Amino acid sequence: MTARQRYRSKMRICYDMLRVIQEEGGEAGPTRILYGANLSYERLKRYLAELIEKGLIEEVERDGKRIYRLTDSGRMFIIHFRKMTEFAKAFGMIL
Amino acid sequence: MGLHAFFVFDAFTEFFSALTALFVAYYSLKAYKILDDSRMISLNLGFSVLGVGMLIHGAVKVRIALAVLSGVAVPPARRLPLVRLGYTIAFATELAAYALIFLSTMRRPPSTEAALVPPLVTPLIEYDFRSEGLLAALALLIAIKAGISYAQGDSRLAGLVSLGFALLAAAHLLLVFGGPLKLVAADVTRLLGFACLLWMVIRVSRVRA
Repeated sequence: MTARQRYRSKMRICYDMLRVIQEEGGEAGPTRILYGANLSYERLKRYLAELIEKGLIEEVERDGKRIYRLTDSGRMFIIHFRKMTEFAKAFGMIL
Repeated sequence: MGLHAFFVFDAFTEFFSALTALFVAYYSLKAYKILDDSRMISLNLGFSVLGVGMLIHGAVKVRIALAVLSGVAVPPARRLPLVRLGYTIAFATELAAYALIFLSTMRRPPSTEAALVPPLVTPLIEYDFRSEGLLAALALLIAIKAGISYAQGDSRLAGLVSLGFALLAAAHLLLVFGGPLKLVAADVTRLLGFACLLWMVIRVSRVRA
């Protein structure tokens, strides 16, 4: 794996986090997101706050535990990100 | 094909190509906003320049077509200053656009490769092998780059981009050899090339989660 391939843009990290939540059925706890998106705890906190602020996920309490739920905007972001990734790959761009 | 029909068809293909290029440019801008990748800006700039250049060239062709249709005696196309101006704009924009599109597909556009482009610019002679050959070579490079991506299985849509630019390269080469039939063939080939790019964007828009 090259340095370029290891580097993930901010948008890519957001997408990875949203994808993890989607794969968990639309709701996931912070530990699952942390491992699934391969993030440090500090980065996880920062990005979760940003995703909530942008309305892509929402924080809910269940049985005393914090979980994060994908919103409709979050689902739309995933679709758009996949479309644009396909578009970039069509020109031979490695993201 | 009669002369009138050829001029109308020629102008139609130019406008279709221009609008397709601008549509791809719009998608590149959308991709930049979502992916936050600066190469998308180069791609956007490349297709925007290509589209605007073709729109200007198309407008010139419509002007000539109207003159022909109204029965005005038109001298051979290559002697008309308007045709030469239209070609010069189309050539310059196509050259810049292909270079930008090719460089945008590199991981990091190297300054050495960017610097290679200006010395490659040859004296501009309309429908000359050097001018059209240079454009064909650049279009072919983009086709090869996308073709490699397709062959490696990175993207099925890369096959459409590869085919599209290969057809554009063929269209430039067909222009070199002249002759009315070859000009029609070049127009049809270019039309098919841009149709491939349009089909690629339509396929992208159908991608689901």
